[in-house]
Amino acid sequence: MLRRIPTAVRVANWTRSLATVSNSGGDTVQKTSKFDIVIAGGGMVGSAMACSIGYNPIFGEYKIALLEPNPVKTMAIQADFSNRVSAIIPGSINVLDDIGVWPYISELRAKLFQSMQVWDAASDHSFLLLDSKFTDEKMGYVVENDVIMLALMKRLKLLDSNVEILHCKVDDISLQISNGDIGNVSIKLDNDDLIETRLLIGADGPQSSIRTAANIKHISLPYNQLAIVATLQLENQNENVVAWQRFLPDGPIALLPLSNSRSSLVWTTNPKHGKMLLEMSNEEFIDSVNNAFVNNDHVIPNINRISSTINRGLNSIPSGNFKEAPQSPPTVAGIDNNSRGGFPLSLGHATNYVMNRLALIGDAAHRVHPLAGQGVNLGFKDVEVLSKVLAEAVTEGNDIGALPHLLKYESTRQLQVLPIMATIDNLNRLFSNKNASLALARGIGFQFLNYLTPLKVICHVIPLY
Amino acid sequence: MGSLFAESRCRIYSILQKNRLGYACRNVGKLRFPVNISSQRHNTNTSTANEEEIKQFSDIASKWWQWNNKNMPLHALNMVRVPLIRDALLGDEKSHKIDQPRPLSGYKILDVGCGGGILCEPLARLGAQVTGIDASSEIINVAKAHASKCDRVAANVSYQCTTIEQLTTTENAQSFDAVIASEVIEHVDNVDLFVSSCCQLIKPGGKHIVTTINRTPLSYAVMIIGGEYISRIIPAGSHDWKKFITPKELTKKLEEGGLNVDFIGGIFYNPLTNNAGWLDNTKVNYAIVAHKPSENYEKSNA
Repeated sequence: MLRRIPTAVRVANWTRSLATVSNSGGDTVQKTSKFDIVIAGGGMVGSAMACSIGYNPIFGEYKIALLEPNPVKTMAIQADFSNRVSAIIPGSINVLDDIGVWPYISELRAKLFQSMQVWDAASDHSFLLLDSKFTDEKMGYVVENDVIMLALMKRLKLLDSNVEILHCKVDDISLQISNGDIGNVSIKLDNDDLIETRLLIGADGPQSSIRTAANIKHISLPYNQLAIVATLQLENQNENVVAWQRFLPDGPIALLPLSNSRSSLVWTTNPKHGKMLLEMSNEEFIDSVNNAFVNNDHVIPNINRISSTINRGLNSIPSGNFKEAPQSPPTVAGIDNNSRGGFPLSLGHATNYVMNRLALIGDAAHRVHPLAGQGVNLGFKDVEVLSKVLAEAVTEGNDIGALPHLLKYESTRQLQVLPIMATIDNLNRLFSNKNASLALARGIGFQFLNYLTPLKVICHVIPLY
Repeated sequence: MGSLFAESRCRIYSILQKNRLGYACRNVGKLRFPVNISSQRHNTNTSTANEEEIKQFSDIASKWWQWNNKNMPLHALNMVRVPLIRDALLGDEKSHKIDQPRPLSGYKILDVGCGGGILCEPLARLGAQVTGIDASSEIINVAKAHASKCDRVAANVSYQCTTIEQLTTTENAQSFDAVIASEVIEHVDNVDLFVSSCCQLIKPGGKHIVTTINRTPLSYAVMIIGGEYISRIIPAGSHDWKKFITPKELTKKLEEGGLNVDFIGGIFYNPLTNNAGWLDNTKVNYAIVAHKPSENYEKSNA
């Protein structure tokens, strides 16, 4: 019973949009091209999905299409760093390596970061240092989104025969049903072409039109925060291998290494302050960034006193890797031209990731706060799990778009994604405020986490840290 | 007076029927653990097809392919039986063929009692040439209509409304690499004729794969009381416990048909997670894989 109810609802939901297409489909006479798998959205996650199934020989006879309305940008790397970057964690590197994309990325431009320091503006002693020395594993790489895209496109180009790239947008979708028997998904494209597929994969981002057309419930929660991004020039051009993140009352500010002379800024703050940051001159902006990392304006004196006491206590116990105070991040000296940008943040989660003949991946299924750099990593993990489930379905001769195996993808991913989403959301709520008791709680939490060896434990609790 | 009584009784029945609990009670009332099975076992019908059974399945023909209805166990069973059939046919070739898009291409498979084609379609997708037969013409029409919707399936599958013993008269003997009787032997009349007809159509060296239900008190509890009356996952009246067959009886019949049994394994189905898998215990559902020895063929020819 438990299983049957949601399944029935999924069919019912889908059929609702049927009416629109049977009308429009009636008067068009043109031949519809049939595909086995259509991926809507050729962003990082959608393209990775296309590579993943395109390169698996088991899908050798499957017709695959990737729908991306925007033609590929220049096929060469720009001299300037892009302001949109992702922190790619080892799990994602494995996924990208399996589909042959990682070698291209490391060839183009990727910066390894060996350690990460996270600290709290409310107290001098409340900080957490994660170093790859303690964890065996690499922390990750900072990669520009454009570089990831470029590498994916290079890899997809070699796949011309298997994956067809259509530069179209989806206008409407519907599921063909006759006598309760589920047929293909009809997709009406914006150039009035009609295509059919056995499985539609929605990778069309947080405002997914596929998700809307399929009537999948989506819970969306806008944060009253704006993320400001920029490519910054550093004063000391020494080794730049640490990712820095400081929690300010309005949101975290993070500096991610791009090269020895450049770092990428992601500063989450309230919309009013964010707007000011976008409008001020370069010199003022640089001062604001430097100040945000070092000022003591937000220190709550009592908390500071308590945490320094705890610190002394912990210090008296012999321990391998205890540090007295946080290190200072490098001083910012300049900003790359036109690299400053801002975007609003929200949390979003689709109640269902799959329906009959439909699966959502990446931001279409879940969108998180960028504070832990998890967004695209969650998407790459979706790609890994969905590809595995689909390949398994093919070896068992299953209909590629049948709900039973798609449900496996959904349950696997929701079990993994929801705790991460909750952790990130809670972290944001825990840190982005001026409440003294919360500041005390996180201060103590940080100190104990920092004291604990091996730090590997923490790395498994909070995936990025 | 009599007709009035009959009418009021009818009304009570119809009220009972509308009431789910009442419906269940009425059916449970009919449950009796069948002790005497001799009448069924020595069936001397000349046909394997049972009219009542055909009607029962024809009635649900239209629902055969709904993933949200009572055929869910059959769809889930594919998780077990498709790999079983695939691996039985591929044998040692499995390791290098498994990653190919059509590992079963070149194999000719007969699915006896194919129903709507729930098992035929995955086998066709794996590249096998599948013939599906069923005694109900309505079900065959459903199967044909569904297969036509997927080009990959349509190219590799053909359906016929016939019985296995009729097929032995039209089809060349020993023409299939595998004959499959999945969840069907418990529905047929004259099991001996059914098994011998199946054996006849298998190529020397070919495989016979049977999945069915054991005749044990546990299978009565699980399949009939649990499955049909309590959870009602299976349509009530789908199974007749007396027709269930034990692995021992089936092995004997297969050996009489000239086959060697290679494997007997138990199967479980979990209706809550809609999962199926292997089990050591063969007391409820089980599968048998047998093969026709090659030398047997030469002997009979000589």
